[in-house]
Order: sequence, then structure tokens, then C-alpha cells
Amino acid sequence: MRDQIDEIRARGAELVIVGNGAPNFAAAFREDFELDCPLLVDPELRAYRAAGLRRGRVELLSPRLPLNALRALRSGSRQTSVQGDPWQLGGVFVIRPGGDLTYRYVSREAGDHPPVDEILASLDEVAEPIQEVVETPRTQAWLGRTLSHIVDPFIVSSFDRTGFRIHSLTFEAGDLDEDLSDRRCLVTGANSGIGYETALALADLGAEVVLLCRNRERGEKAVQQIREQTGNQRVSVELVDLSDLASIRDFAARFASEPIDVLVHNAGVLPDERVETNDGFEQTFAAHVVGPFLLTSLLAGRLVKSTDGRVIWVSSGGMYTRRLNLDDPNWTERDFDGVIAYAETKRAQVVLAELWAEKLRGSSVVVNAMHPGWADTPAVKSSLPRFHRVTQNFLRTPAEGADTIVWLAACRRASQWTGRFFFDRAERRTHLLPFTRESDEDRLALWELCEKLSEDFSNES
Amino acid sequence: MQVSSRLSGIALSDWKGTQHDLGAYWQERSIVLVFIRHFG
Repeated sequence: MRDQIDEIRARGAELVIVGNGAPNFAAAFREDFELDCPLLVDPELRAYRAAGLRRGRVELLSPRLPLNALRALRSGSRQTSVQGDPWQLGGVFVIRPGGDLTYRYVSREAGDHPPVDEILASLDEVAEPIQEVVETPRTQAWLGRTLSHIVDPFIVSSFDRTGFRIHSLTFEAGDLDEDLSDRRCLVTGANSGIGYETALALADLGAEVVLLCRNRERGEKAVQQIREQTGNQRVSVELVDLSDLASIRDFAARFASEPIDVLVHNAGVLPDERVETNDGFEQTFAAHVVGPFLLTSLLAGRLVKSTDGRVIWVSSGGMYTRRLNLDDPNWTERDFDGVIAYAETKRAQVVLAELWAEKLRGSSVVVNAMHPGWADTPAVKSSLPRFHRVTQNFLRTPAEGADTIVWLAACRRASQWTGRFFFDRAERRTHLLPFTRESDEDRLALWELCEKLSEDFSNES
Repeated sequence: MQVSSRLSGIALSDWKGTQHDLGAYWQERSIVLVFIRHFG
């Protein structure tokens, strides 16, 4: 493009170049190519992401790559060592005064450049602006709603991958068209499965993401993968065991002065046998209820300082089968059943999301719960092997399971709801069976129990 | 949202380290905005 600067300027326009390295690389680049046009650097890839440019290893391993390299050599280009993010691809946009776009070219692979004559033609006054506003077609949304009415009463075809595909027909295009580069998001249990996909997607939208994990090695491996896949280097891991109150307090103390915008309660366990934690709680109850309650309490003071704070509780469709049960949350008086313990605590999470929403109403923080459907995650495979064997061909991908979490965390209009329950980006009922409804007394008892057990509520909230 | 709207709030530094609002470049004239794959 540098050879066409004069032709671009003859049309009353200017060439502006953005690269993904540091300023010193840009200075050398400017000197090598004798550029006198604006040359900007974007090491965090914010503008690349906002422009919707591609990134990835597959794109750089195209069979056309040798031909593209040969073409570049013939044109006089001599590639030296790559500076900046090696996996990032480029693109070209022609923008008119006022912001109309008359040309867009998103490179599909290394060496894929747009024809120069097309770019110059788009600078002509007669060039029509590109229609950019993408809306979900009405017929598609209508089809999605109609099919949802048919499949939703049958749990299997709603919670599985077919359900996601049908529900996604109603998704608003552009809902995740957000730049989260000024947001810090905390995701518990983020080293695999739905938590990993949530962290990955938030990092891809530019957020600073902190993975709260029990295992440093697995957490650091996840951080590395997310950095490589997104180019976002603002991804880190903190060691926290959600079933250990001391571990949660240690983390909160380490993070005492850090701003927080989003907290995702995703960490989950499904043990075969009753396991008692250091604090004397049954592990499922500790990791799903007491621990997240304490973490929310300790971080609430920082969340309310965000202009748009969001807390998301990742529940489970299994909670539909159980009533809130506070008679024996630690399973000391009944034979342990991991699946029931899981479902009861996931029911408690939905209630806690509603109670926290009330507690924080009037602040800048919204609190919602969701369930991801049935996703093919490492946890499902190891904890529910029989279920996984039977359903594996129908399960959603972890990314599909994470979609509604990301939507609740990132979508601008999702800040209008608090105390609600979502599935596939739509609000859902919290009860499908009449016997699962809890009383107001039960709800109050849950809050008081969590306060009592976590012992720390009044300190920082 | 238009690409230009998403880009206009982003400030990037030039080769000397001075910050520039991307949106300022198309306030008065058309621009060809080229994102290169890498320097080098």
C-alpha cells in the first residue's frame, strides 16, 4: 500500500497504518520503508479486535502460504524476523468523514492482501457505503422462537446441542460486539471446560481476566493457551480453593485494592463420596454455596466501585429437580448422593443470586444466575461417565455452554436485569415442578446460614 | 455497531510514543486504514 500513498492523497485521503508491535519496531519500519504517513502501534490488539480481524495458527498454515511468500518476494518485500504478535492477521478499511465504511478487507491468511485498485475505487465519491448494521433477520428469530416452543418442553432437545442451535437463532447479532479492555473479570474454576471457555471469550473481547483455580500448573497452562489464542497478555491465574474459606480470605486479602468488574462463580465439584473440607463442610456445599457466598461478600465492596459490576452464578439444569434443602446441607444424617448434593447446591445458587441481587439493588452491580445446558466438559466425563457415554453425541461444546455467561458478562443491555435466571441468552423460569418451590422462610434461612458459616459478611461488604 | 464507531474511542501511540485517537483521522477526510500483520 505504501507505493500508493501519492494516489491515495491525490484523492484527498490519507493512509494510516497500524501495526501490532511496540513503538521501536514501528520506528525501524518507518525508516526502512521511508514512510511519511501516520504509523500507529497496537501491541494489545485493541483496534485489531474492534475491527474484527482474524487471528490464529490455522490461518497461518494455509497451503497458499508459499505462493503468497513468493509473490511478496517478487514485489520486493524481504521479511525479517516477525515483531509483535506472530498469529495476528491484517486487513484494510476505507473510512469516510462521518464514519461510513466504503471498503473492508479482512485477511484470511498470511500474505492475503486486497487488490489495490479496489481500495482506490472505494475512495471515489460515487463509492457506496457498506451496509454494516447487522440485525438478526426477523424470519430467523421467528423460526427460533417457534422451534423453541416445540423443543423446550422436552428437556433433552433443549439442553443439548440441538437446543443451542435452535435458541441461537433468536440471538441478537452484535450483542457480543463489545470492547472489554477497560474491564477486569474474575472466573472461578477457569482452567478447563465451561470456565476456560468463559475466560477465553472474555479475554478475546479484550478484558483483563483472572483465572481463579485450585491447581497452579493447570491454571498457568490455561493462561498460556488463552494468551496464545487471543493475543491478550492481560490474563493471569490466582490460586483459590472455593471449598476452603481460608484460601478465599487469602485471595481476597491479596486482591484488596484491585478493581473488579465481573465475578463469575463457575467452579464446581461432583464427588462420588462425601468429602469433608478443612472447615468441616461437605465439599459440594462448601464449593458451590458457602465459598462463593464468602467470595462475593469479600469482593462486594470492590464490585460496587465498578460503574457496571456483574456477578454471574453458573448453576445447572439439574437444579430443576430439587427443592432448596437446608435440613442437612453437610450430609451428616443421610447417605451421600453426589448427584443430589450437586442439584441441591445448584438450586441454592439460584436462590443466592436472587438474594444478592436484592442486597445490591440500587448499586451499580447486577447479579444473575444461568445454566449452561448439557456440555461436553472434562468434569462431566469424569464425574458422570455413564451420562457422558450415552449423551456424548448430543452434548454441547463447552463454548456453547459458556455462551450465556459471556453474554451476561459482556453484553451492554444485560446490565438491565438483576436477580434473574437465564439459559441460552433468554430469561427462564426457576421452577418447572411445583414441589421445588421454597418458602420465604427458607430463603432467609439460607442467607443466615451462609452468613453464619462464612463468618465474615460484615467485614468488607 | 459500525467499525468506525468501535475504533473511534481507541487511542494508539505512534512510533514516537505520542497518543492519537483513531477517530480523529477520519474527522475531516477519508482514510485508508491498513492493519499490517506485523512489523518486519
